Amino acid sequence: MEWEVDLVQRQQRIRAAVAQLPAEQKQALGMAFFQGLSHPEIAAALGEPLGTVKTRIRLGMQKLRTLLQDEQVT
Amino acid sequence: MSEEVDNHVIDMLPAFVLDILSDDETNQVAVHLAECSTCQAELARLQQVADELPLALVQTMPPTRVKDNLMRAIHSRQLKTISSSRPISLAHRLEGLLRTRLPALGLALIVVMVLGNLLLWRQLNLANHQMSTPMRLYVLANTQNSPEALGTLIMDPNGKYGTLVVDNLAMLDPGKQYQVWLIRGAKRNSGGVFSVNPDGYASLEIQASLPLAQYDSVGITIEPAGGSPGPTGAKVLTGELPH
Repeated sequence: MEWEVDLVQRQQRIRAAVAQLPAEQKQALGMAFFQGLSHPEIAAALGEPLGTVKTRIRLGMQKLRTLLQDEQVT
Repeated sequence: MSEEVDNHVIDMLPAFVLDILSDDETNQVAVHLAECSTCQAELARLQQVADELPLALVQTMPPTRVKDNLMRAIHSRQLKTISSSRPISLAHRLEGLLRTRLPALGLALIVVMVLGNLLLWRQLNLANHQMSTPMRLYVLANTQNSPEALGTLIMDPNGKYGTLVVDNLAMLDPGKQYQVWLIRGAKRNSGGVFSVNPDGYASLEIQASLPLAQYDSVGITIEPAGGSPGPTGAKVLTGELPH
């Protein structure tokens, strides 16, 4: 059952990190990762400039990386 | 900041691990990654994030009545089994087991397979990206006239044809356009003119009388709409084309 505990901890960790993202970054990341949409497709769906969508996804991923990394250090 | 640092692709790596870059951008990142340990390390950290993202999905619990009905059915079958004096055949046991637990087992199996496939698919994509590309890529340097500009020249393996991709260039007045210059010795030949979209992005197939690899360098200047016979305006991007 050790792997189940590990899985639950990993789920909690990534969900807590995602919860800290601004809503617009969360939305753009979700459309890219879970729906497989490209930058232009996301920009069209949201009615936002392409550069804005690129920035949201980049900042979102970089923040998740920082949050997960900090958690491993502490 | 050194030119080497300017040329890193760190800002493109998040989209790279999510596999949402265009083919040109993907090639640019892959070529850079092959030789840059800094970006490789950043890619590894971002890949860990991408690998964890499927776990962020919240599992939806079925309505309470579904569980109640299921438990009632299991309980009633267990009671029947206990009260029966007849020996139970293996086939009967198997049938009972499948009838009561098959939906839950099936659901669990589907979830595991979907997650597994998702992770495998991402690993496969990453492996494909990291394969070296036969295309030649030249990252152009910006100038003080366009400190935010990005430019890449993608050349076919034979060095004959090429496409220019630019980003973060300013939109020009209607009477102006960007012009590409192919430089060989003291000669400067036009490689085409282009305008950028509101995001500062454009791509252009280079027009050249010689194979591109025969030129020494490439430059981009601001010229009157339609282009000039020779460069007259501010230079915004430049790059060497090593032979």
